[in-house]
Amino acid sequence: MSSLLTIPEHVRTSPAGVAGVVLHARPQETAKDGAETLPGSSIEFAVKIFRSSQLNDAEHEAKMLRCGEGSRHIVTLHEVVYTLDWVCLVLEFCPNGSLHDRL
Amino acid sequence: MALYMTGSDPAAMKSPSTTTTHIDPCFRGGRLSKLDVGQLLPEMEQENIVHGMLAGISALHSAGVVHLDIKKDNLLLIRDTGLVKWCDLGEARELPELEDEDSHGRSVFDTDEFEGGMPYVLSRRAPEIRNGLVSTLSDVWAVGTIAAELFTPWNLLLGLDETEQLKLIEALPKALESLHQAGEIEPLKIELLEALLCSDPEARSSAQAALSMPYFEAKREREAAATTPQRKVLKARRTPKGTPKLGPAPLPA
Repeated sequence: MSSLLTIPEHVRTSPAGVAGVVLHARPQETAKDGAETLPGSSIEFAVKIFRSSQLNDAEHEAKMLRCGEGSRHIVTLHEVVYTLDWVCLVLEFCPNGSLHDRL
Repeated sequence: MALYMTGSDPAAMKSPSTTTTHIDPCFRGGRLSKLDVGQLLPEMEQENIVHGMLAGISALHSAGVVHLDIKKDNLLLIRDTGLVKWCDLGEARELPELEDEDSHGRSVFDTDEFEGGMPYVLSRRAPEIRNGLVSTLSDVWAVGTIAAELFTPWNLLLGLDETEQLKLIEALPKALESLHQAGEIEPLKIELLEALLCSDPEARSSAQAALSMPYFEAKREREAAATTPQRKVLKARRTPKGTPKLGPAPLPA
């Protein structure tokens, strides 16, 4: 299981109440080539992480996102990844930030 | 799928209430620049953002889902042209069965159903939510508050507390009217804001209906012209200067 997902240390050790933290991710193969060249990687994802105790929250959000499937104005859910301790929503990565960052 | 995750902002992790989007700090460089206070986005970007916001929630609404957490942090920008996408559907709800409906046959929720208090952040909260009703039109109001921020350099609806917020909501029709009189905002934008920010949810426009309002006409024409280049040429000849209605326009009768 540990090879499937590399969860950063500060997320693993954070308080149990933290849900829905979004991290930037790319496939492990490209990561091995050199972490410094990260921005050049073409396959990137945003991953929203839930503890398995928050399984219901994660599955609710996944269900809602699937309802928005097909609209180019709703972020795409690629996959839901389950491990023993975590549930991860693998989402489309939007590199330009949010409107809040702009306005 | 094997994934490697880079670190998020550790400072953000410390606050348990934080559920907003935090992308790896090393990507901040790719972000679009923040505007100065009082500055507005370019016209076309404003138009694309408002259109995208409405198209997104319209798609959700027709799939039977209300977003309920419409705010600027949850609207992601794809590139500087203004293609936008809603994210964070954690607060979203499926519409209840049709026995709970208002006089227009729209599904509504009772706010008592919401355990964590009223949905929406204060400045995006539609007035009817305070009376215990939530519907797809509450999403429309919230989009309207963001549109108002895009269209004007003034804080029309950003109250610091509930009391101030209610005053701002009450004063809004007059505020829009005086901006109109003064020619500060284009009439088509005023018209759109009035449709989205109508205090009475039953008189408020749906997201779908708002998309066909005259404000988006120029965008529709541009897109139609882009897909059929031949027609564009013909049209350009017939109407020598199809200048969009900009600047102060005559008041409606």
